[in-house]
Amino acid sequence: MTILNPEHLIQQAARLIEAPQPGPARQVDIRRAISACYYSVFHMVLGAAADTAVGRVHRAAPRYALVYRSIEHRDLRTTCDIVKRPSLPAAYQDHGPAGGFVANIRAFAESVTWLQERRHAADYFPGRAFIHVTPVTRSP
Amino acid sequence: MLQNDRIKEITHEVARASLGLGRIEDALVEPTINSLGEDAFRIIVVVPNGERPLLTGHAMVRFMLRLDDRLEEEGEPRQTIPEFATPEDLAEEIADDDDPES
Repeated sequence: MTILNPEHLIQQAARLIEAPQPGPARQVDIRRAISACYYSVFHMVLGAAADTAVGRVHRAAPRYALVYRSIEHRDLRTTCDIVKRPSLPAAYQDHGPAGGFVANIRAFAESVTWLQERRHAADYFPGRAFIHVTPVTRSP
Repeated sequence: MLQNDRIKEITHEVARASLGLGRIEDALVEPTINSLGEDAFRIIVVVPNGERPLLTGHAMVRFMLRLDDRLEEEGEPRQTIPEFATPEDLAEEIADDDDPES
């Protein structure tokens, strides 16, 4: 199975929001950039889950694709909604840290949830204008 | 469910504590629905012109988490969907509505 490289989606998003000359980036490009960012994270999670459950060395195996494709957007959302809470609901307390997940994992879950909402609005809300945000320069 | 004015107060308070900016200009709150069709609200955090580059990804995520925690403490069940803008951005957004190239 050829695995999509999530980093390439981020690079695609960065290219899309580079302002044309003259003027700001077009709404259609900002929307596609938001969507690309979300899918970058989504595919990164699917890859990590399949690597963990099946094994990185079995990426060509049919069962790897089965696991990879078994996670839907709503599943990811539901999991993130639970993970980002300061303390886990009773049903999950035997399966996670007693005091809730650490700050970095909660922050990741929060970001995924937020990005999913933004992606949904970018793809399906025709009347919404998206404000161009200056791309962040990442540290080497 | 909390009233919009209370949500605004909490947003200002959390923004002051976690965004790393001195203050925010405003917090615009409006009810909406989320991608699952559930009641939610959109909050546009208006930061002073020129201070957008000071907003870091870490600060924004810290703000979103703390805001969720504070609202949950006060019994607010709806999801928050925050956005960040400057007054200039909002003016540009209104102008874009008339732009056929957008």
